[in-house]
Amino acid sequence: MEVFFLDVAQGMCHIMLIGDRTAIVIDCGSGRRTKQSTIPLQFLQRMGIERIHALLTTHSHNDHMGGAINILGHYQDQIDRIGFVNDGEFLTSPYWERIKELLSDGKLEREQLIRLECSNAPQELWNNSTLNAKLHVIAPLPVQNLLGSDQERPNATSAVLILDIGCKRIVFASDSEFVEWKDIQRSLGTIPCNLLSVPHHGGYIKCSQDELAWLYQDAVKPEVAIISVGTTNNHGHPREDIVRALTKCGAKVMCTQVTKKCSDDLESVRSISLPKRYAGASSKAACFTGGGNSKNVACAGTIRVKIDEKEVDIEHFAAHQALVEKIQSPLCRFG
Amino acid sequence: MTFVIALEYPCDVAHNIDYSPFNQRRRQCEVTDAMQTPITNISIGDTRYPMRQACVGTYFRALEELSVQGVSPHIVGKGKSAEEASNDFCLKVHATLQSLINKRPFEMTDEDQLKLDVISQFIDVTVYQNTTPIKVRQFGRIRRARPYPESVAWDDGRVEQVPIDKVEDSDYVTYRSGQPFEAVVQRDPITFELIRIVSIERRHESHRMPAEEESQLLDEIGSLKNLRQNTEWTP
Repeated sequence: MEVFFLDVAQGMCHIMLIGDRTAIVIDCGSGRRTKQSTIPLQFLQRMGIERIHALLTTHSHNDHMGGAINILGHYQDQIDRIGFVNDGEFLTSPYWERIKELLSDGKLEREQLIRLECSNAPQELWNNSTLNAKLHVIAPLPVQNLLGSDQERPNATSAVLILDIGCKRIVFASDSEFVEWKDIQRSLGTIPCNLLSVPHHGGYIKCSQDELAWLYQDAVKPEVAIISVGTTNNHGHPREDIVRALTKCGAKVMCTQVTKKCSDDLESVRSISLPKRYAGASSKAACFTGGGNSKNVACAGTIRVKIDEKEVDIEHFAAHQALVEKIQSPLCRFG
Repeated sequence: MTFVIALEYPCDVAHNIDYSPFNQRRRQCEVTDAMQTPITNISIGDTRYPMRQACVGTYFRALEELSVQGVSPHIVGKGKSAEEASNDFCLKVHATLQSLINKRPFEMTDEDQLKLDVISQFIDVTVYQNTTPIKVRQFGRIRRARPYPESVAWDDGRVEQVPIDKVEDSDYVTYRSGQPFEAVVQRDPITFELIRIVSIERRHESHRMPAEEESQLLDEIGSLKNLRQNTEWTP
């Protein structure tokens, strides 16, 4: 099967193509009212996807849920399950309004809706014996969900998912915070993985430097860490200490887009960026914000990963690593 | 006197395919029995495939078959005339490509991959995919109609100009500001720019779910209890 880490600028969207024109969607960034919110649907259509086995939103921030309403609109009667976290913002989202409409119209059944939570063990969301693949939810716990919902902190109750194919593994960490990882580590021990979608776009996850080092040594140990980040994000993503902690544990880091933290001259990075192969926000043609800053400059762009029981193959990994060497001061080379 | 027809296929070592029986049948044909037919474009209905180069098919009257170098024997046109066989060949290319184009590499058999490779030699599949509009179902409402609809606000919050001439349904002109609708929209596969609205219909304002019912619904949804629990999983 294939897993795509879509370049949706500042947002997150992971799409698993599981065969037979069917997909599992984990998050659908980016923000509402932006052109990027159509990228997941555009991607699914270009891949000829006819059925969504599961449409999962790990929490209710727009950079993870903004495009879900487009997918729901198009595939409304071709979605098997809709998974969400009932955090503080979900019930006020237009996405929830649309779900309720579809329920009223009889186009969705209540049984198709699931809340992404696990009790005291990982909960299975999907499995496929032919592919020897399983998708589990490992966080949040119901109590975390209740607390996070009360405190209106959707990040703290982000769903964390794990895809296992034979002994190969991808962890989708969404915007999970350190507190969740403490619980995950306590109940499951250290989780080695081939690929990690780095929590919170490589941003602050409410922990100290020591805790950060612990996270990537004792909680989750990735071989490759993928950061979904937008060139013009104003949150300071990805943080230098996060990237350093990842490289220190031996992980190779890939970002979907490059930021000013890696180069002052983003247009020169754009000019040497890899050809665009899949739907994504980044552009080979120069484009700027109203303030004149470069935007949507690809680093790895949309990343395609071919995964089976034997190997995890990141398409054009070597070419991307060679590109990084040409960038002025890439954060991922500091480690 | 019997001539050997030039159309001959080498043994495909990579896929372990021996074309000798196919070639042998053609060698038995006399050259007067064969006719060359140029294939300059392949169009079926609205679908038009961009060809890398025009190719020449050879129609064998005795066999009622059209072969194309590099494509046959994987795809062979059948027909009582060169034209009929040529049409059959185009239809088979169309059917084969459409069945393969949405298969992912990990789903393809060696034979599927071979057929796609063969077709890709004379049809530019990437150009075809990059120029074939995609159709999406979208929900929105009229944002501005002064006096006729000009712009719409889609469900995801984006606003887009949709002039009347981009909508195939003439009733669109009667839509007023705020009218909710459901539309099938044709869009550019690369830029996602609107090409035209193929169909559109009014939607009624759906009734709002009462708070009590919503609360009951949320209680019912619960967690993943309806899924398998405590499955084997090791860190």
